[in-house]
Amino acid sequence: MAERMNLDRKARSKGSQPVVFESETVDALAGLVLALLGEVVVLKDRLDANERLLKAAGLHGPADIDTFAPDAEARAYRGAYRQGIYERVLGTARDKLMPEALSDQHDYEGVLDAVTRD
Amino acid sequence: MEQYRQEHFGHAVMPQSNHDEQAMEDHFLAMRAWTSQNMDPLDRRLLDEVIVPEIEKKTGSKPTSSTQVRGALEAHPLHQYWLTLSLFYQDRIWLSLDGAIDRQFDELSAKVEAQVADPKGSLRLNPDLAIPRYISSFDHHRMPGSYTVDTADGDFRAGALYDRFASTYLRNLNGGWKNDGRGHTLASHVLDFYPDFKPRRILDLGCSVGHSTVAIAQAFPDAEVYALDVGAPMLRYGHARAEAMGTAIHFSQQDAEHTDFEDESFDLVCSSAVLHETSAKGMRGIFKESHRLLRKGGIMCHVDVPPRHEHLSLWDQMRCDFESHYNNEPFMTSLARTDWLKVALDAGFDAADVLVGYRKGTFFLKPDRADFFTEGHPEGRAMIGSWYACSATK
Repeated sequence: MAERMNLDRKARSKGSQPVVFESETVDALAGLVLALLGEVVVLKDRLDANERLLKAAGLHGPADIDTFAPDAEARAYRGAYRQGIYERVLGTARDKLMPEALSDQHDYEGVLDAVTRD
Repeated sequence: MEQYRQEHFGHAVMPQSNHDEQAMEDHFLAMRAWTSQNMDPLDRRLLDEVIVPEIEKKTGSKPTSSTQVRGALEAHPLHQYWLTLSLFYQDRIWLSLDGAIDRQFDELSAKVEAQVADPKGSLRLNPDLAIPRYISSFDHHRMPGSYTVDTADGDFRAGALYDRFASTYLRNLNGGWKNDGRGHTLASHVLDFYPDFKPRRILDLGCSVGHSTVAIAQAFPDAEVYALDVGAPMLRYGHARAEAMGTAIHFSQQDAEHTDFEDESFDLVCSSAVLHETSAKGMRGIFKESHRLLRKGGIMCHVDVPPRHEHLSLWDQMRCDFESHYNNEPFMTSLARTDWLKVALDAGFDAADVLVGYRKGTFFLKPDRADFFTEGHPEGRAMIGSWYACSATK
């Protein structure tokens, strides 16, 4: 595994960061909505792919999905991708609203985590 | 299940997508198309039919420059929405593509290494290179980490990210995944005006990952091709990409204004979409360096983004300003006002040897005089699909 560095430097672009609507909060809300739009579209594409594959394979239908109960492996898998969704949707507002003082705390928490796991 | 395969990119080191990554990329592209088809015309009407008459009523004269309408337009919620959609696309597609690269980082790293194991070209890096301020002080087109930040030892990420973004951003306008339209356009321009030109040594300035360089090398197969850029991760990836595409290019990490090549050591010195990411001083420096590097009778050719201020409607001026104000391309709007002929003359070229005008974009070699023109669009639209070109013989 490659050891990555400067990851904070690639988390957001350096340069123009305008406030477009009347406040950062409104911009943050607009960002949340737009990010959710992306998640919904991707989800719909995935469902569409799934339905087409199932149909092609002559397998189960909607009724089987209604009664499906995820096992531990599926729950863990879902837990992991949900974190990705939260990072993309909720992270949008966080990145808009993060004051300088909190960036340091964010960096420190990264260090704290690394030291703990050493 | 052939139709669900994602192997749609044709060289060995291009980052690939899984289903959801591709769906997100498709979503961003579709959202951008929706914005340009639905919001751009409304925003144009807002400016022409609401904002301009308001200003005319207040001041007694019709505004002619985008700077006169900026405040009023940016205070309007409809334009704020347009701006929000534009910024959101530009910020978030980078992060989405970057996430896909993080996922396959080790795999791509091995592919990059494999491609350069027995190279036809070469790579020369300079970790001590002073990065020009117009590159180091912000991230162009909101690309996080810009061209220069290494995220690992021997990093290629910036190049991979840029390659993937470029193939998405101008998918049908600049040669698809090869993103080499500007290179073919540049070579076509040169062979149109100088049909007997047979360069032995070519230098491509600000080559990024070599999108245009590969096309130029294909147009002049007998030439030795050199390419430089300031970004080490761009060059490492570009080197591997060129090898994967079977093209011998000698890459080096240098500042286009101050290269270490000898005087009069090249027959063709060129750049593609580089100038708008420099500065007034940078552009002058690049033209001067081009002049220094050319042998007598050699040719300089720079192609860049098409907006020309003198040809643009108010809304198109604003669209160009957007790049400078919000997309971290600060020189773009000044470049649109710059007299390229004067820059060429100041660099030492003679007026009789300089050509400046639009060149219609092409994805293959097409040295056709009908593709060169100097008139703007009758309605003041930016000439998207064409490039602004300046060539000169020394």
